[in-house]
Amino acid sequence: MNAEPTPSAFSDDDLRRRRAAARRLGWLLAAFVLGLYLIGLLIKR
Amino acid sequence: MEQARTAPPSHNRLIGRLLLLVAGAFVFAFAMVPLYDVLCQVTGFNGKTGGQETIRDNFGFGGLKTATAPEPAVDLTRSVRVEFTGTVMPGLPWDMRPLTLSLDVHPGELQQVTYLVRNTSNRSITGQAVPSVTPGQAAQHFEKIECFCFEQQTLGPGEAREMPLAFIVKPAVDRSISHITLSYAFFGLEGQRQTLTSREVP
Amino acid sequence: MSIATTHPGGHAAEPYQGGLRRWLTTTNHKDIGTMYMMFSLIMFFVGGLMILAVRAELFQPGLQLMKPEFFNQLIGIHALVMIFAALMPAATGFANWMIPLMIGAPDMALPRLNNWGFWLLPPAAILLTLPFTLALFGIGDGALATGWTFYAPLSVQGGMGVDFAILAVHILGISSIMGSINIIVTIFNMRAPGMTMMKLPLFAWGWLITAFLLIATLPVLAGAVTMLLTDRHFGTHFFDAAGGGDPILFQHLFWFFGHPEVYILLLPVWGLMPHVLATFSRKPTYGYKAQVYSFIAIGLLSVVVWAHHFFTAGMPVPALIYFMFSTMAISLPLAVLFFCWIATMWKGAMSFETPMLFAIGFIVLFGIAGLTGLILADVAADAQYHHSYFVVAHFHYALFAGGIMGVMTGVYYWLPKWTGHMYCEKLGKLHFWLTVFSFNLTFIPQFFLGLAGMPRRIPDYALQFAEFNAISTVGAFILGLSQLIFAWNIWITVRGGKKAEGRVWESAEGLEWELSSPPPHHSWETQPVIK
Ligand code: HEM
Ligand SMILES: [Cu+2]
Repeated sequence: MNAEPTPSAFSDDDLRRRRAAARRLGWLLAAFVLGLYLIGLLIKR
Repeated sequence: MEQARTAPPSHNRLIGRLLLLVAGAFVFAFAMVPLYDVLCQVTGFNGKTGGQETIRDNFGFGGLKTATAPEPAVDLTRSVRVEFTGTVMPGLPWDMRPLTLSLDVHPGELQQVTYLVRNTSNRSITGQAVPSVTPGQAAQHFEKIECFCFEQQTLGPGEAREMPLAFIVKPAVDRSISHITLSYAFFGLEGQRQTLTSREVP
Repeated sequence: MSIATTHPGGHAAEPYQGGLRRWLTTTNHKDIGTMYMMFSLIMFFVGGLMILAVRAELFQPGLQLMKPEFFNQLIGIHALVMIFAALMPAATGFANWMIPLMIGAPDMALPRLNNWGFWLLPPAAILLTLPFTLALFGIGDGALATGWTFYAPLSVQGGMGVDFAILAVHILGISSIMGSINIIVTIFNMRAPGMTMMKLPLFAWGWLITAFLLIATLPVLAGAVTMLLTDRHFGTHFFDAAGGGDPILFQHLFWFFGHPEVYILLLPVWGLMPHVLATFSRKPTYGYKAQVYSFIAIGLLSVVVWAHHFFTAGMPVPALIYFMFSTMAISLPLAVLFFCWIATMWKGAMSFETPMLFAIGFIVLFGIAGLTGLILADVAADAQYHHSYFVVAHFHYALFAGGIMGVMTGVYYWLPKWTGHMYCEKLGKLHFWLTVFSFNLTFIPQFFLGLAGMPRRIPDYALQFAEFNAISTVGAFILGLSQLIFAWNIWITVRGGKKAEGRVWESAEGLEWELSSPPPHHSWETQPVIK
């Protein structure tokens, strides 16, 4: 059942990759939210 | 660090203070009852009107003001539409309706309307009408000179009666107010409180 | 924060009782914490079953399964059970288990009070639900049928279910107040030497504010329902217009408690989030002080905004404007919290174990709760949305996605600490994805229903609402069934499973991880010293 182990130490390389991914995703989300905001500004009823 | 070896602080003092807070909050809830009533009178918060005598004094928080002399001046430059409505509370086998549904009045003008109230049961019943005015800001300036809500009303079996109401919308009423609604709720006074599940006596 | 000395051991030699006797008389914070959590889990399913019956009735328009009276009873008792018997006990369970471990205290400050506090709960839960059973035997007309808000004059006129509920609320209130006093005293007086208030774990901070809010507002609710009781039976007229009282006063008193209550439910969750996010982002918590100040600000603001729950009851315009803006102001400190949560993850080396999945799900879905709350706080818009399904969807994003999913975050995060076993990660992930999917399937349609004008608390509806209601019901049943996975996962973790380390999660910080998993029955008998 309990097959998947808890985080038994990721390799340094893996951690670095994860950091980069988190940063990329952050920018992506920020751009998405900004986009929504701008669309909201432009839409006229 | 420095207090590493001091005795544990006494809990009792802190517990005492917290209990005081609990008691204070409980008392606060009850203090809200009179406070809220004062607030309503000052601001007209809940549509409590001016110019009314105390209805019943067996529970003092209704505290409504007594009638004062009408102000003479009539403001002919504008008019306010007053709408009349009313409901009978569950358990009171009456029906009521205003004979005038609405009326345009100049502030300061004395007006009179009537409600038709009918006892649909075959026994004599006493009821009490409780008024409410919306919007709240208008309530303070809505003055009743004569009203069937000033006293209890008794209707015989099947009796119908026209009940009068004379009022003035005082000129001090804010110019932004164009509509006022006056609503009555008629409550039965006798017997135990009616619940949703208790049966009506026809 | 670093620990100079740790003495995880404890004295083992003490007469140990087994069986029911142990649970009835225990004063050990871990035992009591476990009982709270179990009680909460059971009541979560009880409340869930009630609302599944409601959703089944709402599957199609028309009345199929039950009378409207029974429907009304189910929705009201569902809410009271979920709020008072599922969410609040879960938070108290966390507090009992974790606060002493996290602040390095040997136990709660008032262990005996702690035991009473718990054992008041089962009788209260029975009082709440007993009228259902009594009605089956022809006694009375069922449970409280006013909805959880007890609005007068309906509650003055209602049957004996109202009395049962009033009594239950009194008992639950006493229990919560005892718990709060205990937690405040523990945090103020029993912190490990060197742990200043500004080194206190955020979870304890969140609970501290909750405890103060409980103490300040629960007595007001107790007062309000006491007035209701005397109105019903002793001829007073607090809420009776015929006697000079005022039904709107009840709404003021109820929501003076009711609005802070929603923050009472959530502050412990907001407290535990940063711990989880920091652990799985492998970064220190971002903005500790900002979060503490936000907790305090939200606590203070929450007691001055209550009237946004009855904008439509009639209020002078200046009052409307005041309550609108003060309500909206709460979203500022709330936004600070969101910012800190996200900033904690920013550039972190994230990994996605079940607690982290729930934490991220919480942030996204609870964000929707906050945004829809802002819409409702707009007086002009609220005239349309008040008492519609839009409100129902809003507060389920707040209370299910914010509250219950927050609790699940904590359960998955700390379960290995409590039991000494790892839960099943596969089942945990399955539970998460099913929950998120079916939760949205249930409640997104309710936003649309509310916008289209479907009123809440009505057992029947117009035909144009049929499709969305059917979808929502299907979602609700998947959601309900998915929770069985959760219960099963907890069960197998309690029974066995891979052994958990003391520091269950590689990068977890805090005193609780210095102890073994499960921690010894008596921990921190010698307090650690924080530098
Ligand atoms: C920015 C944050 C929030 C704002 C501005 C907000 C605003 C509101 C407003 C204006 C209402 C009344 C709607 C109506 O009845 O017409 C409401 C209802 C409600 N909210 Fe929120 N809310 C917020 C966050 C929360 C949170 C965090 C919770 C719970 C943890 C919550 C739980 C509830 C509940 C339970 C109700 C409905 C109560 C009932 O009528 O039974 N809200 N909210
Ligand atoms: Cu609120």
